[in-house]
Amino acid sequence: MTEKYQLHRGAYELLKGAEDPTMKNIAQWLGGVLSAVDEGKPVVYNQFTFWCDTMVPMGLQPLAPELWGLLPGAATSFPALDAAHDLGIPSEMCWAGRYVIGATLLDQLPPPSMMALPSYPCDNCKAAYQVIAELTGAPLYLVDCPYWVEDDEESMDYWVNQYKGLISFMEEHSGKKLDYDRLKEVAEESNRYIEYWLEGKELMRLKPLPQNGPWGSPAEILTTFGSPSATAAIKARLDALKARVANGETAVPEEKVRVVWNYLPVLWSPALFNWMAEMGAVIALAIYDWTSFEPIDTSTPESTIRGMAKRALHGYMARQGRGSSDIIIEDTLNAFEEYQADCIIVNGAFGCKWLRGSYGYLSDLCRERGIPVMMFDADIGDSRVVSDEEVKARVGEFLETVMERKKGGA
Amino acid sequence: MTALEELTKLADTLTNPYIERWKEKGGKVIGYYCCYCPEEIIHAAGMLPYRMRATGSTSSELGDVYASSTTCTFCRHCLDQAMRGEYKFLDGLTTLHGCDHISRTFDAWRYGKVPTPYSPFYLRLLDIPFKIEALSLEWMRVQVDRFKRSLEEHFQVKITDEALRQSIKTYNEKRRLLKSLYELRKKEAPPITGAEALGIVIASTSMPVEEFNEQLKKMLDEVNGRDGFSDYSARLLLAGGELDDRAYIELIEELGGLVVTDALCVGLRQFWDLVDEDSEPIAALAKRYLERSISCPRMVDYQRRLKFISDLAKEFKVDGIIVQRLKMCDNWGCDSALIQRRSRKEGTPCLILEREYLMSAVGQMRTRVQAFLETIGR
Amino acid sequence: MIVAGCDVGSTTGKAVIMNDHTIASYTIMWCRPRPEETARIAINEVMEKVGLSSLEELDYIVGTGYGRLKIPFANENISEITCHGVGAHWLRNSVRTIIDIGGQDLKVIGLDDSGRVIDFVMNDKCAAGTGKFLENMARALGLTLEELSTISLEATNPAVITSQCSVFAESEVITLLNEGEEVANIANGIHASIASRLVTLVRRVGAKNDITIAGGCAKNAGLIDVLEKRLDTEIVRLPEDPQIIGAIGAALLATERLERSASSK
Repeated sequence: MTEKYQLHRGAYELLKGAEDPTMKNIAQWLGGVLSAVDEGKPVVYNQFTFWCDTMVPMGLQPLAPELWGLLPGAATSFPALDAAHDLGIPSEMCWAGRYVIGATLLDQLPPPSMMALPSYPCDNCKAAYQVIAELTGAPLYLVDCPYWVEDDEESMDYWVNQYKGLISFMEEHSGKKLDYDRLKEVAEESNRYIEYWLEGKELMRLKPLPQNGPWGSPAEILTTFGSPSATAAIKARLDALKARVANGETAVPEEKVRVVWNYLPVLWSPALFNWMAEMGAVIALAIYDWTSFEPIDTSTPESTIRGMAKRALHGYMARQGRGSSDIIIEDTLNAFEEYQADCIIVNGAFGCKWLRGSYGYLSDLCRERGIPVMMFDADIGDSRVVSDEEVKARVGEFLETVMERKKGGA
Repeated sequence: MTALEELTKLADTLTNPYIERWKEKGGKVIGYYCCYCPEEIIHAAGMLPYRMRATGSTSSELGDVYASSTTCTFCRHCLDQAMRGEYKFLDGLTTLHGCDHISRTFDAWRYGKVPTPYSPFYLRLLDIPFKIEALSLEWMRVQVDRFKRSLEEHFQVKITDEALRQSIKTYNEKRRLLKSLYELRKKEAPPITGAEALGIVIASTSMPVEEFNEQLKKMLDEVNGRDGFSDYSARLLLAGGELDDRAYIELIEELGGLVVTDALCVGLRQFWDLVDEDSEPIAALAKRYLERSISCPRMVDYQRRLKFISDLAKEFKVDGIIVQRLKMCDNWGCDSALIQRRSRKEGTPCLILEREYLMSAVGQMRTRVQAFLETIGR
Repeated sequence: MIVAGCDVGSTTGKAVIMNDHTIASYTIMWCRPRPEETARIAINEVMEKVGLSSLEELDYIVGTGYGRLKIPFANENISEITCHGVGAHWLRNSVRTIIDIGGQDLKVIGLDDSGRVIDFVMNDKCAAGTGKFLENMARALGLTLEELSTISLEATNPAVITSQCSVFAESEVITLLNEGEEVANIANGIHASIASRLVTLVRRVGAKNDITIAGGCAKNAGLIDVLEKRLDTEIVRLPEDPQIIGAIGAALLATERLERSASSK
């Protein structure tokens, strides 16, 4: 047993003594997963857009498999991608689905005792998780989200009932019972987390930007959300941001271009944003930040679950990936206005058909309003498809034209 | 012309004389994507349901202004046809979020990128659940009911329970007739080819159902007297998503395979299950359309789906399975791998063919199919 | 004020020398393996034509193109999108849309009335339709690029090439040949498949007239013919070699930089 997951065991050893609360929190999650594996305790997969706030109060160990794959660096996923390909999974599918299937085949992922999968944001996930269910035999609960044709109470009731269904499913397959006092505790702790998160999001409106974005992060909401260590992590980041603001520090010496980054960062190229910063281009916000939340009303178990369900709908990609193109277009254009940006860059991840399929409508509106917008092609997690050099060429070229325009020259 | 020819030729054109006559009489036509759209609702409103396809398209250059290069070519060609005004016979369009591709190309209609004969044009997206359980069945019932109400409201018509019951009966008759046609294909020498069967199912979605039922009865009489096809090298089950091009199956059959059954959208999955005629009609429709015995891979329901396909392979005594999938389709991308894995375990050879909406790379396809048939042939 | 623009593309290198807003000389050459070498040779050639012997005699040099970061002697590098916009607008100020077919990619650039780039789109990574694709297709048909262009005009019943992917498209061409299809019809079909891609891109930037075309493929009469029919509009020809539009733009920007720094002093 111990020879498995060496990369992650190594990462855990490295991170467990960390001072930085964000790292410490990741270590806590990794340690939790590894000990669950070693002690034969249940592991629940939560797909990468599904928060873990229902698992934490039940004492179940969440494991977002896609995050597991990214932790040691996206390049470590190549053998898994190749294994998925050998099974016949087409290469045009999203990296996320291909990785989880391949890692399952290669036994690089702790196997799930059960899986929670929302019907958003895409076909890829629903298709891939069915393959994982077939390969592992683990029970899969689909948390079915309405398309939001009509923003009505009936739709919300259906969704809340799906949430309750998930809780019963986890109770049935783990033999544990949800303790409502514990649920209330977790919900209140997560409310504090969201409060800090919103506070930081407001500071990212400052011009020049105090710190390069994105501000939001999936690191805690997928792993330990609602625990004090998750809240400590964001609190520390917020304090650091506030200190920068107080000291008048800025993201770059001269802010030449403010970018609304539509979608996730390029997951295999964490350095891309630094490279852009060297050109004077800062990220005001990315998809992690395009949302707002109401605090959960914890007065009754019913209101708590309803609040959690409702909040989940506004998480990154849940919000934009559960309905028509309206939401992602509106969010992008609002972000552009509210954050006084100069341009919009769309990370046109090949696997993400719903995102790419909305681009034509967005670019029509941008043209009408004179907003520079550009979508580049890349695989979200596989640097072999479009290289770092190609991405930089495209992004760099666009930023140059935006700067040239701002100068009023040309 | 035989009834068989009369029906199958409808597959080769976008519109046809039946639709033209219907329109001349002042009838309305509602387009729909996907076999999860309850045709009976449209029929009971006195309108003609028409299953969307892009027959006759030669390019997608207009559609590609909005569709992306990772949108499947079926949706791209449909959007292209729409932007060119080729669907001017439609009085409305309905779809569901069957997949990311169709939801996004449907937005082009919502955003006014497609010319329509009147405005606001009737557009409806059905919110169909992705799972089968008591909660989702109830949600499905609500959706079918809302669909009915929206048609009534937009076109100022009344859809009575009685009309619905009658529509259900008429459509069930269509389904029984088509099932009896498929029964004939179980024979050692089936009287029709797979390409013909596809043409017939397409016809069933492109003309008034009553006229179709009459023609199909005639056709069943005709083929009953016909010598069956016995000079094939392998009996095949053809699975996959959208396929509305007879030439594709013809190519497989020219090489010696005979498609004797299928798990296609415009095929068995369109008509296989009957609607309960004795229950409350909306609830009965919801149940049939959601709980159908073989789902689309959009549904998180893979176990039933895989079992149905392997049972079907046995029932029709096939020698092999071909899964055709449109490039960029994630749903079939995973399902085809699962079908192949399962069928290999069960000893049934399985070939996956990737395709684009318009027949292309024919040489490559011919080589692959021929080699497959050579390895499994009798 | 003598300036130069140097455009190092993926297939060819171009250089232009301008003297007070007039073109003094230009050159076009095939790329060497290294962009630095291409740039060096191109600039030497173009200087020689006007009797210059040292880089010091040039007041400002702007580099552009795919290899623009590898031009050691450039004072500044500017993207070929901006350069194409500036060059085309200077040559003909009615231009609002520029089609640029390069060796590796297709670009369509939208300009506003003052010639500033307002939008640009590019093809997808693996889409058929680049200069390289045309070269491969010509080779599959046993033709040179010029022959492919002229024979296409003789098509009686153009073949339809449907595939969106260049690998599939190539196999389609081979299938058509095996089936005995006329070469002229296939050539026309190849051009139509590129034209179709271009129509999409042109519409994506709003399809404003005048539309012009830059790059080596602008010399391909067969392609232009199909494209004009599909766009249902005339493609405006620029009064200079379409391959040097980017280099002209770079030289103009070099002039502008000098003028601006002079006026700010």
